[in-house]
This record gives sequence, structure tokens and C-alpha cells, in this order.
Amino acid sequence: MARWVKHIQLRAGMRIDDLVQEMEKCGVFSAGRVAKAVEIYREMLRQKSTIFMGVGGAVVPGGLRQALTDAIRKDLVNVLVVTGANATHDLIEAFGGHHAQGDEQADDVELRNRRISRIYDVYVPQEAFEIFEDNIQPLLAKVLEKGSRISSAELLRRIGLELTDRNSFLKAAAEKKVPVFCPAIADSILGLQIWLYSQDHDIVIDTLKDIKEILELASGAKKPGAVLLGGGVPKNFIFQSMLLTPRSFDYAIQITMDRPEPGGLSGATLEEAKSWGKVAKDAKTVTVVGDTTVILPIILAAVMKRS
Amino acid sequence: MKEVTEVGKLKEGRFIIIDDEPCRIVGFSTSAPGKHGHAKAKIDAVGLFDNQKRTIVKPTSAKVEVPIIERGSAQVLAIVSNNAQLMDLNTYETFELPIPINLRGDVKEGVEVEYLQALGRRKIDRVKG
Repeated sequence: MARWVKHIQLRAGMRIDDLVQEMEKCGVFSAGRVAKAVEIYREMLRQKSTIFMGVGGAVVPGGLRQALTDAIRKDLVNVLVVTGANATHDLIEAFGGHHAQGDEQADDVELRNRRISRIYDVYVPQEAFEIFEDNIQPLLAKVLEKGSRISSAELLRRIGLELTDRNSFLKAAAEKKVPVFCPAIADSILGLQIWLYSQDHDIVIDTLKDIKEILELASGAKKPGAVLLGGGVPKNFIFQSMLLTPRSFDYAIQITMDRPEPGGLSGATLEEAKSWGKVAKDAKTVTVVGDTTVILPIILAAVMKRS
Repeated sequence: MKEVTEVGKLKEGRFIIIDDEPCRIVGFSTSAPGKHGHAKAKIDAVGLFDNQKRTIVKPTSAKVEVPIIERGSAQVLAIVSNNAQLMDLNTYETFELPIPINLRGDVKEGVEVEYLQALGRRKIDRVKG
């Protein structure tokens, strides 16, 4: 019995990193795991790890767009793998569309009549997707020359460089040379718009090229670390990138609400990833079971350097 | 000869140019504005000359090219294997066209046929009378 559970002490006006320190002293349950995630993240930054962040779920509609942008600008992440939806919703805001606070109890048929789509208690007015279409089509024409055969990461880099909204994570990533992979780009409204464009323009977004590009990054990564928000395609794409290298991830932080029993990747433990050789046997890992919209801001705020 | 029109003005039975081929529209359905953005039309069309089925999806406000279809009447002067030698009944121009598979046997020497012309190419459309 080396360490006792120390009870969390709250003080008026305390800072996030002080709170995390209290959680660390407490050391148990989810608070202890949040503190461990912060400790692992800090170690990754000290070791100058190459940090791969997987962004699954409704992270951008849920209010974490600026957090991603700041994480990129403050060098807290080196490679991003996102779902098409997160890229789409970043672009919706970059083009002047908005996400609104709504009501999860609302009558959804009534919402449909009012041209509103719902993501739990976030409302997306249908105009947002019309604004998206009006802006993305000319942008695709600008960044894709005839005969283009490029990866999703190259497409998102080109799009990011054209944006003027400084709060866009795609813009921040393009400027900071942080590649953003979107291997399931077809599975999104961004993908649907690209397909519409491709009907009469000779272009292909070749997501197999993404494999080659992320493999290069995985091969050259220093003490690779994975930060996984939710699971899905981003989690697997990050983990499989290491399979063709002689190495594994030395660090992994996972935030999820899913359970391992049904066998789905999003709930799979990081221990399980060791059996696949994706995570090193002596890797430092932690899974925080909780809502990313609560957990991630705490972790990022705590690891950001005070300026 | 072609002109530009809005997708929303098209319907089944009309013509459209897809991949430089004049096509007849055999299916036309629209989706309301929604997650995909503005209202879209899904157009199924069959090439007049190559019989290839083509499908496109476009915003209903998009501009597309439509072939101008000209029709003419001609008399069959002679049949040479699967081709018919024809004489236009207005201009007396003579020319030769392949007989479409579904009209073989019906296009015979002496009968009158209707042909159509799109983007400079001609095709026997039906046997008259």
C-alpha cells in the first residue's frame, strides 16, 4: 500500500494544471486516468515524440474546433487523421456557416420541416450545407488541376492553404505542415461534393496514396505517440501505419465511451493493440473513459506551455 | 448543334449531352435540399448512338448542354447488309445509315423512315406509316 488516495482539494480560481495535479494525487478512477493522460502527453512533448492524433466522432460540431487548431499551432500534434465529417464541419464554419445550440428533446420531424439537422443537442441548419456546396465547388476547381491523382492529405493541405479563417484546423495544419489524413473521405459530405465535381472533371482522390504517405511518417517518427479521440477509421489508420515498420507506438492515450466486449475497435483496449504489434509491449498507455468534449480540453489545457 | 439549359428544366424523354454523347433521358428524379446541399437531380440517360447507359447527379440549378435534335424523313432506296441507303424527302440528299437492331426486318426497300440528327450524327429512329 504505497500510495493512499488523496482527496481532491478545490480552491477558488484554481488553474487547470493545479486541478490535474489534484487528480494525480487522488490517482484513481477517471480523475486518475485524466492525470495519467496529462503525464504521458507531457512526456511525449519532452521526448519530442511524433504525435499522431485520431479525430473520430462529432469533435468539431461539439465545440472542439478551436482546441484542435490551438493544439496544431502550439505543436501538440504532428500528424492528424480525421473523419470526413470533421473536415466537412471545419469547412462549414470556415465558409461562414454555423452550428447552433439546440435541444436534444426536440421533435425531429418538426426539425426536418424547419430544415434543421440534429447532432444530439447541436443543430445544423440546412443552409450550412448549401453554403458548403457553394464554396467547396469553386475551391475544388481552384486546387485540383485536370488529371489530378492526389491523396486525401494533399487535397486537405491544398484546401487548408486557401482558407482565410484562422480558426480552421485545416488552415492551421496546412500552415504548420501538419498532414491531415482523411482515409474515409468518401464517407462524408465533403466526399460527396468531391464526387459531384469528379463527374465532369478528370480527378481522383487516391486514398491508397495516403497509406504510402503515412507510412513514410510512421517510418520516420521519433518515439511515436498516438492520441485517439474516439475510435473508428482514424484510430485504425494511425495504428496500421506502424505495422509496416519495425516499430510500434511508444505512447498511446485513448478517450472513448465505447466498451471492448462487442469487439469493435472504438472500444478496444490499448492492451489489445499490443497483441497486434501496434503498441509497444512496454509502451506508456492510458484509456480515459469519458466524453471527449470534457476530457480533451482538460488534457490540452494542462499540457499547453504557459506563455 | 447544342444549347445550354438548367438541369431542373429537364425531364424524362428529353435529351442531354453526357461525355460528349447525345443521350435520351430515361429516368429523372430530384432530391430535396438537405445534407448534401442544394436540390439535386439524378439523371439516367442512354446514348442515342452507342446505347450506353449513363447516370449523373447535378444540382438542379446547374447548367448542362442539350443536343438540338433535328428530324427528317427519308425513303429507303436499297438495303446493303445491315445498312440502308436513304434519300431525304425534302432535300433529296442521299446517305447511308446502319439499321438499328430493333428495326431490322422493318426497314425495307421503298418504306419511309424518320431519322434524327444530333451533334452532326444521324440515326434511323422509326419506320413511318
